[in-house]
Amino acid sequence: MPTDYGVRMSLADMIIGGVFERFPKLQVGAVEHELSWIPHFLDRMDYNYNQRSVGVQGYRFKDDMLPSDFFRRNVFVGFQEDALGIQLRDLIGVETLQWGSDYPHQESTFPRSQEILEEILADCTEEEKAMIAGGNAARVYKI
Amino acid sequence: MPGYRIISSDNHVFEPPDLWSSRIDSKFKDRAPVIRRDEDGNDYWYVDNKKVTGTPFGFGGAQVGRRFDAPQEMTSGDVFENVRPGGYIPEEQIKDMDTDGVDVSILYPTVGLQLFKQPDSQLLSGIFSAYNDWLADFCNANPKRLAGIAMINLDDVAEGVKELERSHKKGLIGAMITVYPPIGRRYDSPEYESLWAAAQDLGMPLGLHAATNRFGSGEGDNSETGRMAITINFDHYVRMSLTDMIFSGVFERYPKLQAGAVEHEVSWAAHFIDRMDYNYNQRAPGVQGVRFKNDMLPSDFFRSNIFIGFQEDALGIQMRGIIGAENLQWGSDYPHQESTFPRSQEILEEILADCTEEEKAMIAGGNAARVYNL
Repeated sequence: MPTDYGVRMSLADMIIGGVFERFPKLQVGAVEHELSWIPHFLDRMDYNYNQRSVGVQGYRFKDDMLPSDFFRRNVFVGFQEDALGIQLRDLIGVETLQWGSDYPHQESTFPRSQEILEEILADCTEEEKAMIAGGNAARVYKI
Repeated sequence: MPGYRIISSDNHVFEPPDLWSSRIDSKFKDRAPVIRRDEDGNDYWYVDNKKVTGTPFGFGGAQVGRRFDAPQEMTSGDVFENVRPGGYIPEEQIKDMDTDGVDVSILYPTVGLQLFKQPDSQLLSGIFSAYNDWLADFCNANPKRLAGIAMINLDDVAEGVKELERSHKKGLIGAMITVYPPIGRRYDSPEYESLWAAAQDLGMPLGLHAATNRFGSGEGDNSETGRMAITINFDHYVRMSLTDMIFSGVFERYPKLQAGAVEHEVSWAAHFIDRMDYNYNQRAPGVQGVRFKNDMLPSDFFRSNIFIGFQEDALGIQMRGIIGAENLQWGSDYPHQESTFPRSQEILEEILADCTEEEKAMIAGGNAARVYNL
């Protein structure tokens, strides 16, 4: 059930390995793993980087960048209806979130995508809604 | 002084050099865990003449407090002489508890965590049984304040149950089982039924501690200690095990059984609970699978039967409304490198600042007192 494990391992390897320091414009996404694992993931990356010997004795990023800074700059997160993740959006970074319907799979929001979007984004500002529903994807993919 | 009782749900002993050589069954005498100094000048544990991976003394007990005083000097390796004596002398641990404002310590091992990887099952049982004897003696120095957790080998479940009963008789208050069984075995299997029953009936909570994967459990075992992705994502194994237990109905059949995720911190639990209920109610494998009685949800079993030991996860505390404040048990991780000692009271005040007085009392000690009857 924890399908986020594979993507968390890969993203941690890439971030800690300095991939995004060397390729600052590279964009990589966690697709269809939903969202609410991310606050914990970011917290644990920064904690291990700053407060455990494996981190402190390891490579230090330039310009005081933290692992979570690379996540917010270089990683996008595709999701479909994670209301809890939306509630935690400030901890994740609204600019990283990209909604998707998962059409035509069983768990797709089709044909109720607009209704579900309105529902899960109800607490967001208009600007946040526009970013999550399409603006972030438009920016990353230049659509 | 805070107005609540502080119980560290996750303290550690540091096994002394002669623990096994003086106690282990004589047939294992030549293979028992011993400390040796390597060419790099650091001490390491050896079992069966092989170095135990992932047990550097710097993490384990020789550098407690350094993260506050000189974080840039934290190293993984160190020597036994530098280990905090409270790790192996009960009176010294009590003194440190007094300094730190801790009333009761619930005690887990140090190298013992890594020994779950030992491939020889009989040797492992011999090691665990000698440890349980030593730990019971350690706690007997002050049983009101030192509460020991037994180590149980479940390769043979019936034998594990016997060791659980023996540990209970010796006064140990709970037991740890591997956080994730070896390949081909899972906690949703009926083979573990007698363990769940015994743990419930004896009132022995079961702790699933970080870094106790059983040998051969695959999927990137935790011997890759240099790979930060492993430590960052440690909660994976306990999530797998708890999911298997919850979905196979262990807590429906044994409603008084308590199982805990120890030293995995807290904030993963919000996502975990959400995904369990979502999969149970909105995905085919859930809806077509077992349905719990009385409209219970997976998250209901989590709230009634699972405890979470943590040390200073401010983010997790912030999410306590989603996770359940009644599940959280603070622990200092003394005398390990990441321990909050000797600043536990200060750190507790800081991370619990937004909590109500009732929540503070629950998280700092009340929940552990309830689960372990302390």
